[in-house]
Amino acid sequence: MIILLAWKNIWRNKKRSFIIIAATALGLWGGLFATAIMIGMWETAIDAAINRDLSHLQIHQDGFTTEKQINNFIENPQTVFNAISSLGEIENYSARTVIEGMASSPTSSRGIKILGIDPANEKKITDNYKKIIEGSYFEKDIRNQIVIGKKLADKLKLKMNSKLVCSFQGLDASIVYASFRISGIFSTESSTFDEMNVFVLQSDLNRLLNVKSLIHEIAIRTKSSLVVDTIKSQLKLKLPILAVDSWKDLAPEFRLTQETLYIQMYFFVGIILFALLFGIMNTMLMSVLERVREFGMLMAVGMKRIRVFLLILFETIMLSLVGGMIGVLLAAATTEYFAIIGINLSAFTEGLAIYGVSPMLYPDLPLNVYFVLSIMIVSTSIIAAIYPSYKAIRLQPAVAIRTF
Amino acid sequence: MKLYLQLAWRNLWRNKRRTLIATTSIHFAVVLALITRSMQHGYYDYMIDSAVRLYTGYIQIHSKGYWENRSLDESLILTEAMCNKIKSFPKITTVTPRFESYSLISFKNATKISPVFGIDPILEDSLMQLKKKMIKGEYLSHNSEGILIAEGLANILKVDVGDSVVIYGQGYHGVTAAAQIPIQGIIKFILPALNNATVYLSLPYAQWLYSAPDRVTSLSLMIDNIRDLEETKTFLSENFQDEYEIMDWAELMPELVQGIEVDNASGIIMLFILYVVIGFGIFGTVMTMTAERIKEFGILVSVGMKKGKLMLVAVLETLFVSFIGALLGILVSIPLLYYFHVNPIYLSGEMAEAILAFGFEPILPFSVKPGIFFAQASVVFFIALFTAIYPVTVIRKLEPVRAMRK
Repeated sequence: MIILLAWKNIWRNKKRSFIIIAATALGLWGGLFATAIMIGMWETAIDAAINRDLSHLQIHQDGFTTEKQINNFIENPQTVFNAISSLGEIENYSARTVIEGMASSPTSSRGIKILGIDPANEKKITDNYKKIIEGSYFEKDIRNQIVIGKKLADKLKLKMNSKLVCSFQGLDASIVYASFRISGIFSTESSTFDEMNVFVLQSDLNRLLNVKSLIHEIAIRTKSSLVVDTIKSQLKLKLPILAVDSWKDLAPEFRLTQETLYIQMYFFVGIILFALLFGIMNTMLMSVLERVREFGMLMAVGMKRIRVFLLILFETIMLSLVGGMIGVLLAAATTEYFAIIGINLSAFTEGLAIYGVSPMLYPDLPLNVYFVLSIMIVSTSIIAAIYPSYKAIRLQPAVAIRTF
Repeated sequence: MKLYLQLAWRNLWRNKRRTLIATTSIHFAVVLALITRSMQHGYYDYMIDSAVRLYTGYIQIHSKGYWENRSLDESLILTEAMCNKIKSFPKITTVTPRFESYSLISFKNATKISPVFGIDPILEDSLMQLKKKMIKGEYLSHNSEGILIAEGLANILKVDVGDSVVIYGQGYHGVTAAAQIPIQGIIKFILPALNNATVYLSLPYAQWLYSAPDRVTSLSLMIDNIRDLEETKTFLSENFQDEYEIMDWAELMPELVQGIEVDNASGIIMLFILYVVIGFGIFGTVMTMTAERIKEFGILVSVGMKKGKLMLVAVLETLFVSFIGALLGILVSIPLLYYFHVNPIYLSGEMAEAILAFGFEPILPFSVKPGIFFAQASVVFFIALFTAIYPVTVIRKLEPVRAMRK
């Protein structure tokens, strides 16, 4: 009964209700959509990093991730392969040789990470072979070929088929100089990755270092990103002496940024709701002041004060819920639309590339955000309703009827 | 005019509560907007300042083509005459020569790659406070033959003061540069990227090691105030453009500039949304204020008040409400922002790690640039003007006879 009355009251002053609804709707729409863009941006960045080099899980000898010493290799990779194969939910894995060294061209030299790979395996877990812009991804059958990033090639002034000398420390502390020929150039979303990483064939490195096999890193891709943590703990049990890290451990800045992003979003939506609070309170207060006579009459004919209180409360909640709904629906619609079409930010390519973000954005808004927001809207409107309702029930019926 | 101002002012206080609510909502919006803007701008200034101090300086002079290739072959010969010429321009505070090259640093079985800097110890200390960052050993002297090594790198190589590391690199014109050098001191940087890979040599020693006597790769210039940048650049171009390349910090770090632009754009969008909401709030208030006073307007017009003058009063009222709110907001913000400008917030925990991962120290400095205050005030002014359209159209369409019967 009260709810129906409240609903009808809202539409007595259409223009005013419309203003509040529009303010709530636009505020939420803007806030949510802007958030969806930011979340989408980071998710593309994380996905790109996973597909580029992190993959879901990596296994190293303890201490390798920080120090990257060539002598700290996995001594018995076969046991690791067996352990991985015994688990379900694994899509593929690739064993890498990882060496820090220097790349020198005739004009200049730079610090780099040399990744010795088996292209057939590597293709199954990373998609860098799709990012080749010149040449090919180890398709030629030649010795000592190297695939490098566009940025490194530019900095070293190298072109396809140029010679590049890599120097690094061998297993016996001597310095190894090896000359490679550029057979491919790649360009990923991340300019730092392109500048720091080069790929060579594992077999070439083995020959240069005079070893049968030298594995520092085993990267694993799971079938679904949801099982990463379970598989991590299973692998840890099976391989107690090795370090098993998920992408979250390997690139903590991603998880941290994601968390910061959520804090930032709720903070901002909070500010918008705070501004709305005043708008709603103001409007309801005016609506109450206009209807002093009406409330006086209702109370005089026997309406309980608590019911008057509830009436105004419901009016406020409904008003903001309608606005909130429209806002959330608009946000959901635009998010979904642009999630398919994508937003092109190529004007900012360079700035985004330092964060490893591609200029095509696909906004994304997790479901629970909608849920939390509905609660936030309702609580805002309840807070906004308290003062006007309190004003109404403090009226003296006898005095109120005579006003106007 | 005075009469209309007075009329508008008095009209405002006919319903004190409503005016107060409207001004408070504007007040809070302005405070919140100012805090976010001040944090953003403060952080940009801080990023630029620290990047300029740690890495590039405001302006760098290189031999033509050095920046693109980073090759020692494109280093420049530093002469007394050139130095004096640069120093003759009063806005330039320091001229710091640097010699920079990548090399392998080894100790026993461990090898790392690190940038090697040949520095003038005294000048570099005045720029980066290197001496304060020393945690062990002795700082470099003008031509010492020892090496300073960053703490993280020392840990990885497992070396300490007194050990000798081996440097392997490529010198001038491809000559191999190799030497065994005793560690003279250890420096601790807050930023992991610097802490894990930085070593310093004295400039003359580096020049000897890389077979490049009298050569430096860059001259890094500091100026007192970023506002003098253009003027300084013009001076340098006039004198040195033919032989050297002159680059300012924005050209040296284009990624930083774009990163700031992206972040700034997102901040502006967020503010825009906030102001849309505020705008509707003000509009709602103005609308009810107008609706309540239709009868009054009708009477005023029928007794002979010009509609134009009535419109003026209505516009003035809206402007008053907005300006009181904006002014209060700015007045409250100034001491708050100034306090945090002088005492920046030091972040800790996970947020701090996230910022460190991007290569900056985890502090939140606030900016008190007058620009941000003017920007908020002007935005509020435009919102007020925009909402004033409503009462103006109502008055324009007003028919006194009907209005009076309401």
